[in-house]
Amino acid sequence: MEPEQTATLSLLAQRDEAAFEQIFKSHFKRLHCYAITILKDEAEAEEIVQQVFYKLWERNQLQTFSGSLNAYLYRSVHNESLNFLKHQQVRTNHQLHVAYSMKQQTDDSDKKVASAELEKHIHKALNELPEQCRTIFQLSRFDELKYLEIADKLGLSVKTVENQMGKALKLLRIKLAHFLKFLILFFHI
Amino acid sequence: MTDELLVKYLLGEASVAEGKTVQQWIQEAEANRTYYDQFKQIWDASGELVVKSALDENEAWKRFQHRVANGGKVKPAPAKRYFLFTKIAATLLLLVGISVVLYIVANLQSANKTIIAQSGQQVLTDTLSDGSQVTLNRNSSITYQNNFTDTIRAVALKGEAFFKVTPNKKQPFVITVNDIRVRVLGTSFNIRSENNYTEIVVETGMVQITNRGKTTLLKAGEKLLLKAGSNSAEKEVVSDQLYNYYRTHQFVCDETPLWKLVDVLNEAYDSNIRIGKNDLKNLAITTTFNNESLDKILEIIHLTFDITVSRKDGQIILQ
Repeated sequence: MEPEQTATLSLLAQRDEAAFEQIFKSHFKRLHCYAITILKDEAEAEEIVQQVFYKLWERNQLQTFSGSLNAYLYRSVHNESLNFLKHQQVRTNHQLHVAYSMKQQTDDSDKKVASAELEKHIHKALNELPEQCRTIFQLSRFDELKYLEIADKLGLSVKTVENQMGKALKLLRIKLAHFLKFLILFFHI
Repeated sequence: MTDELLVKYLLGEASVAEGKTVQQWIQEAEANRTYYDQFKQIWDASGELVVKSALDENEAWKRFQHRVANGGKVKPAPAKRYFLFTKIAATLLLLVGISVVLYIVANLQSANKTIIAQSGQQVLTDTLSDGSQVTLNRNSSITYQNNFTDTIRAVALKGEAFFKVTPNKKQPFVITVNDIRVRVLGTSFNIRSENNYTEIVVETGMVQITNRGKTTLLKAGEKLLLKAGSNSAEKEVVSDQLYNYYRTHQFVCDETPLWKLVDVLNEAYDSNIRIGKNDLKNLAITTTFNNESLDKILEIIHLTFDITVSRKDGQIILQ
């Protein structure tokens, strides 16, 4: 664990509100984005992030806390979001359906319809990735961080990040294989 | 070739040496190129999923502080809260709108609503929409249209009432009672209908009475007694103000025969007074009883005429 994070954690242990506020504000938007990409609902996404921070705030004994704070926050947001989806499956499916069909209505070219379809499948596939894999993909793809930055943030080695990114795309490729074949044919025509 | 290396190359993380290896591999076979292209496609397409958080971290922090203050109680997210507020506001607005429409419709309807003013055991005074005042004696009623939108102000009467009509030459006030039409332009008068008889007493102004096609003009201080089914119209000079008792709470007798006073007392007090001797019936009385009890009135009659007042089986007999 980096010295900086250890310092903030010890402040956290003392219930230093100013320190906690700093952590909250510096992480909020990225975590919110992460939850949105999973949930496709801004309000629910905020609720998840707020809950995650609240649990952290309630946690007095930070001895039980091991590893990177970032890794913990991303992991929590990921897990809580998926839990929420599980409970709200029907509703979310409906929302996704609405979101994508709206997108399809606004995009009139066939190619765009196809890419909207691909997005829908990617979204589903992403939500099925293992947590660490998904978080690393999130930081790389959406937060546009370099392997080194990701490793730094999550307290991992660059090699682990490299492996997880390889794993992420490999899993996505397998999950999307059927759809990709169709898409390639489509683009060739 | 490992997926890790391909992705590393795709993301620009590969070293120069690694890059060369990957490029070589891609060019070796069409299948290799397709394999790599698929990674690229996924990567590019996933970029479309990128989202931005529209929330302000400072506002979010305030909401977090509220949550802590509330012991972690779930508070609705701002977007939801706003949505809920909008929903409530819209609902309220809709309800207000419906209420206003209903209120207007109800008012329009009540404007032309038929009103029945009915007195029970108590004398009732009613002011009509044109400002005219009607005092209903006990057990009487009037029926009229609330807003008098017709060319006449039509009122149907049952029983007895005193009218003080607001003058309006353009819209005469017409009372229907026992098939008799009493037409006025603005005056005060009493109408009493009992069984087949209708008595009209004019206090001020002039009244036009139509009975069976025959019209009679009645002036102030005059009264007319009409009998149903009869053309006779006996116009008399008003001798007393006794007819006014229910409005003024006074029994004003001016050379009034005893039988007439007894009739009015029986009506006013729901009593059963009988005159035992025929020669007493036309005894003339001139006095005013001012809101007095029946016992007091009977005592005054007893003392004035030396008449015995006896009570038997709920009857009061004067002899």
